[in-house]
Amino acid sequence: MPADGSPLDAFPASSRAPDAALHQHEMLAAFAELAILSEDIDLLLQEACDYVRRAVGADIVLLYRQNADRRSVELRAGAGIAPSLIGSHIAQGNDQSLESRLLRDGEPVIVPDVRDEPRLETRGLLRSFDQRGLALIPLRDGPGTPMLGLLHISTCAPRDFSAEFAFLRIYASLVAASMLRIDALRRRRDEQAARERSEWQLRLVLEGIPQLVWCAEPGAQWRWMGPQWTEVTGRDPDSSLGRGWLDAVHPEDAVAVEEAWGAAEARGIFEVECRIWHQHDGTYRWYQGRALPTAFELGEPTWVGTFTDVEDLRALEARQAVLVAELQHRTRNLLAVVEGIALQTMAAADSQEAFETSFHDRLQALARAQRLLSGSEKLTLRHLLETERDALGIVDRESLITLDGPDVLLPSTMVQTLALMIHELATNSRKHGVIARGAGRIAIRWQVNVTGGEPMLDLAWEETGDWPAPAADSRRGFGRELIERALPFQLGASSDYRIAAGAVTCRLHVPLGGAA
Amino acid sequence: MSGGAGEVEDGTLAGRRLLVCEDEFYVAVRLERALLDAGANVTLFASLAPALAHAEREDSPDAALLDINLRGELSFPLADTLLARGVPVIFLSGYDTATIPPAYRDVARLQKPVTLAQLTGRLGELLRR
Repeated sequence: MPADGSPLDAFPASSRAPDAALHQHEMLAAFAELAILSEDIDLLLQEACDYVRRAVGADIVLLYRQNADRRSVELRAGAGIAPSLIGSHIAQGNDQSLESRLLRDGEPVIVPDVRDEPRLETRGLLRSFDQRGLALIPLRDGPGTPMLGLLHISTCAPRDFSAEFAFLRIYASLVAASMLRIDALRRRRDEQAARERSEWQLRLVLEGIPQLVWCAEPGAQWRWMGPQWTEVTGRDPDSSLGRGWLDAVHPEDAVAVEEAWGAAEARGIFEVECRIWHQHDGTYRWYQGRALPTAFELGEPTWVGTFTDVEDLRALEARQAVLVAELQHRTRNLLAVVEGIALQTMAAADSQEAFETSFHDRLQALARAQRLLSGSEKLTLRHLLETERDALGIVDRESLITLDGPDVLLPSTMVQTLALMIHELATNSRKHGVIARGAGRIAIRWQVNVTGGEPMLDLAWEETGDWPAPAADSRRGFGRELIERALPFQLGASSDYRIAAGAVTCRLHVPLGGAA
Repeated sequence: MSGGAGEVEDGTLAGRRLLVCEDEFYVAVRLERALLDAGANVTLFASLAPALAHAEREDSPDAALLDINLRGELSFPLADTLLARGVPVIFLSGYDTATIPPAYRDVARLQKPVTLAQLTGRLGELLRR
């Protein structure tokens, strides 16, 4: 059954006509052209069946392909049968059958009447299709080439195909040659597609990984680099080849890079950290370079390497080192301060109980200051004062104690000492002043003035109320020591602290400094 | 905290001029007290700039005791000045060895918190050399 528009349409089914020989030759030539050009095996096989059937006037023409097990064949195309039969398999059960010998040794089979030939395995099958005249031609390209299958030609009436044998062989050879050719073509295309897929994946990795990838010959001579290099450095590949890439390395790191190359062969690895120019940042960034020797050619390795951006990692490491140092400093200083406060408190205390209370309260003030210091936000003076006021734990604290001043960021060096000072003034008030009596007013006011180009904080504690003048005390208390000696020493402050009947004032003039 | 300053006092510190840099008031006061008790003359600074100015201007002290971190500034430049003039230096520090620059790892160092006995003992050692 020829497809629409098949060249076969040009040939009427009149193979037994007087000009049959010429007709057969014309058809063979047409089929040969088709076979040579075809790239579709199934189509070609079907055409072959149709051509042969019409050329020799057969009732059934079939093309079987030998399976890989060499013990069975598959019907791949047929003319004169129901198309649904295509795809069925026939197994060879008898080694000595004509079909088996054909497939094994390439011996063609010509049987004028299958009823007379018991060596045919498929006799029953043929009978069920009412076929009697039979020719089976091996499908092979020539001696020494693989047996691909067989061409089956049969008729309802008995018929001897000896006369057409040579002719049928040519059809079979054409089909076999085309099958081999198309198989090879398909294999080549599959291989090419697989290669392209694999190359595509390789390129995806090479160009997609967030690293600068490169290959070098000994002596830091680059011979290939991934597009990341150009993307990062802004340098075109040509000028980076050879030792050109070194121009993108920070001059101060050139020695380290050369040394790493010098040591690479003996170490079996190239390893360096260096800065590489970054066109987007407009600055150098730190990279870790690594390469291994691979693919030796004539004893010389090709170095395959990467540069990995470690700028953020290094910044984190540096920051961590600073934090560790700061932590050590703060912790051990804090211990020294606690020791100092203990000694001072002891020296000023009248009794064990008085020491315990005062020491405990001062440690609490210190702890509050530490909490403020370890917070992540910038600390303002108002925040510090509010923290100390809240810590008093008295209900009417906001009416007794007023805060008035601008937002001032406190340098961390000031926090602890200022907190202790406020704590001492509040403790005094709790004993003798406004807080003790629940009457009067504590006004805390502050402002920042710039003198001589340096910002100075003026902080005043003004406590007014009704209480008698304190008894004169020859000993300098902890609070007074803090205000009059520690603040000037530690913060470069000047201070003025007065206690009188009904009035406590403490004024502080302290440089805010530049450092936070 | 071990006892007073007097327990290893052998008179080595008497009359010696000592430069002390320490920014923590309560620590500085203790150091000063202990060294004064041992008979030394003490010049005390809480920050780097005035201490540097003093070291460059005045006669060299007999020894110096330097906190490494002075209000956020490192006292290494002051140590350089003093060491260049042959003044023995002891660092007083909360830092571990690992966080001290290699160039200063051989300088005598006392870890905070320090006992007064350690302090006067170590100073005496340096001054007797």
